[in-house]
Amino acid sequence: MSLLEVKNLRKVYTTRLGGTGVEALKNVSFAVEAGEFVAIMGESGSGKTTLLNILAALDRPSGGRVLLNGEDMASVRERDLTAFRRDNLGFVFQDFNLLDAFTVRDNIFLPLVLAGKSYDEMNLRLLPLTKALGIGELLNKFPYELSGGQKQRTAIARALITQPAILLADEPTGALDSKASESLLRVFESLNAQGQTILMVTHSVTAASHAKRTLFLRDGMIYHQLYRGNRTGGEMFAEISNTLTVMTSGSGENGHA
Amino acid sequence: MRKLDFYPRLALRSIRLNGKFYLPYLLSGAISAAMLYDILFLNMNRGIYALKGANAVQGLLGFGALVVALFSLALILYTNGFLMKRRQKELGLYNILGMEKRHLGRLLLWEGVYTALICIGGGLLLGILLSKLFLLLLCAIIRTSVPFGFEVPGEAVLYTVVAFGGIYLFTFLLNLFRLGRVKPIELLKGTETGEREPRTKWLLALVGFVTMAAGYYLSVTVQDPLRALGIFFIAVVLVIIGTYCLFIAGSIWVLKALRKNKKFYYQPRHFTNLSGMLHRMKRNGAGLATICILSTMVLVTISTTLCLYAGADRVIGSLYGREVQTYVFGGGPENREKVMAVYEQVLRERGVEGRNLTAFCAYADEPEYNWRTAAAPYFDRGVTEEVLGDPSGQVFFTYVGCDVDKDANTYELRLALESGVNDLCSDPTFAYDRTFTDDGRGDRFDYWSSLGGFFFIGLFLGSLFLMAAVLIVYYKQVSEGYEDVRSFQIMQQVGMTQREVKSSIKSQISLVFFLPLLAAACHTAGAFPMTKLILTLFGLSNTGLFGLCSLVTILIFAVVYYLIYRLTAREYYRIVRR
Ligand SMILES: Nc1ncnc2c1ncn2[C@@H]1O[C@H](COP(=O)(O)OP(=O)(O)OP(=O)(O)O)[C@@H](O)[C@H]1O
Ligand SMILES: [Mg+2]
Repeated sequence: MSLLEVKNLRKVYTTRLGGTGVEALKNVSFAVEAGEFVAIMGESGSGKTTLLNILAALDRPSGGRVLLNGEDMASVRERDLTAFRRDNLGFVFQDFNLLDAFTVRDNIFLPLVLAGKSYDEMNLRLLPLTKALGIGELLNKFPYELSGGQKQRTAIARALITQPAILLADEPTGALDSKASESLLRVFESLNAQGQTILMVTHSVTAASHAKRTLFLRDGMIYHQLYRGNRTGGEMFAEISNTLTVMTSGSGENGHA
Repeated sequence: MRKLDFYPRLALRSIRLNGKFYLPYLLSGAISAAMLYDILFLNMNRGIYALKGANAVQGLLGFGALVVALFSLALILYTNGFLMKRRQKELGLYNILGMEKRHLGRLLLWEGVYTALICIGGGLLLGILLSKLFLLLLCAIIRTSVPFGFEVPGEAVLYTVVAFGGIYLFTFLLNLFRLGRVKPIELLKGTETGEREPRTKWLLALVGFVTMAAGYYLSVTVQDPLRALGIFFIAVVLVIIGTYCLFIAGSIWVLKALRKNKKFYYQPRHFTNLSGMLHRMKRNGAGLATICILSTMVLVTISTTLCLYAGADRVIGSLYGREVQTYVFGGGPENREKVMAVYEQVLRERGVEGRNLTAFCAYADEPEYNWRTAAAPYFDRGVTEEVLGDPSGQVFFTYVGCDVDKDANTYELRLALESGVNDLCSDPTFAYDRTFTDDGRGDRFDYWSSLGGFFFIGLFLGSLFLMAAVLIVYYKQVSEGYEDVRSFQIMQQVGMTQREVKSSIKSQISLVFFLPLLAAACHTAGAFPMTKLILTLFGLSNTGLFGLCSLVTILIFAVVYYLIYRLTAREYYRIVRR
């Protein structure tokens, strides 16, 4: 049994005016095994954020199923959904989504406080995380005192402190410069090496080349996938670029046909 | 041609666009203008001039008009500042898109013109519509008949237009001055500037504590009514300073202390609230203090004037005696019964009902016996059975008096009573030195209407202050709602349920709401000993009545306040949940 199974997922956005809806996801199926590091790529508007929002239980699909550890997410009741999300999933967003009113420490603690954990337990969990992410010095600072990379690492710590089955990330390097991106991806790799399953949506070929597997999304469907295997980052980079070129020119051909 | 009406149209559009903020601004401006017009209308009303004893009322109304005008200025400046801060981003965007500052100035000018037109025009209309109602209320309070007719005094209109025209002109100039000083990048940033965590200001907290304690100490220890009046103002200033300092610095201190307590802080209920409040306490403190001061003003003005009004009968009794009254000097205690019999007979014959019949014998050794003061409680309660002074001595005088119906002719009644007493005197068994009977309606009415005038002004200004408090509360909640949208979104993503969001909002808002109310109730209680003394200057020495009036005022105010709370909390929730 896979950790995460997505079967025939469909999502139609109906406009309020009642016009024809946008079919953001047509028929998406894939599986993620425990301990994988998967990147999802695709053009703007191909449905990446939509997919991630459904996996995150922030949105409901129009059709198809999402199974986490064999449990159908559609069977989770609406009012248990928040707790389900808190206990199983961790998120990292492009624009960090830290709360200005809290220190770094309290931002990280937030999900645990909401889950009603004791202060001692929170502290116990915090220590190894801050060490791994290198933010031990920043704990008493406020978000407006941090750089972008530091903010994103704080956000990762917040996502991981609940020890989620999967870490979901929507363009985590989107707001970072190349150096900060590189160090963030290194963090992802080392987390993955320790067994953390990661699913990351990205526009950046560099970012995707750090993953063990890359899925390509086009027009609401899985178009292709690449396994990194034993290839180096450089080789992977070239391979992904090729696939993207074929995919975009392919869409041009389709347009003519 | 088209270029000419570009700015007027843009101005109209941005007023409509910012409706949530502009509407209360326009509404409160119009209501203030209406209130100024109405109080001027009453002040200049010829019908009231003609009334007996209205001079005192007229003076009070003039004073009230001044307070309304000054307070309107403060209120409009405050809300305008608030509005401008909100709109900085919009103006900054226009600036980036190529509007120069003088163009923005022109936009502000047109906005000012529209605002002034709407507020003054609407205010006058509202004021004229309400003027008769206020006249009815005033006449009911001072218990006179309402003058006929409906008038719109030109002078009242003129003064209102001039006063509010001036206020809006001043506001416009101030906005222009502010606009001239800011850099475009600051315009753009506007409300978004990352608020730093406030430091604990020890000195400020200390100053607040000391001034507050001093204010309360003065109020509690003052003994002499005449000094109380002077001390009242000192104490008010001290308590206002103390309230601001404590709300600004003290609140931060308390919140930080709470945050230090890990067990308390890291609980779902306290975690988000505490840091949320701490985060914005810098601005919150001043806003809360203002709300608290305004609430206290409402409570103190209304409770004291209400008490004066409710106790007017007694006060007038102790100052002027009853409406018809007879003194018989000399003689013995049996005179009381005899004079009372005369009263009963005359009242029955003339078909007049007597109220508050008071009859007593005053005993005294010295002729200078200050019987008025000593008799005050008797007039208060309408006692008929008791004696005044030490009954083993000699009777100084016997008093019999009562109040009568409003329509009864006290002059004729007095003549009848006089002749009745004279008949009594011609009886040789009736021992006395001299007697006299009088009626005192004129003086009484003067005093009555000035107490009623006080009450009316108290109500009038009280409602103005209340409106200001409501407005500030509303602006605070709505603007914070917009600031909090993102925080609550993030918290939901991180694992906060809808229910938790709701309860978190509820506890945060209710604290912010009820803290000022609690403090205002405390201030009102703290001012009680002092205001009680000041009331004795008006002849009112009934602590129980004053306590009751204060309690009733606080209760009614709390109900009104609670309604406002419900309304703004709903608005806040609606904004946050989007
Ligand atoms: N809330 C919504 N209502 C209607 N249509 C939507 C909504 N959200 C997304 N869409 C549409 O669904 C499609 C997929 O959007 P999505 O945000 O998933 O793309 P994306 O792959 O994340 O793009 P990007 O790389 O630009 O972030 C787009 O055509 C978009 O217009
Ligand atoms: Mg996206």
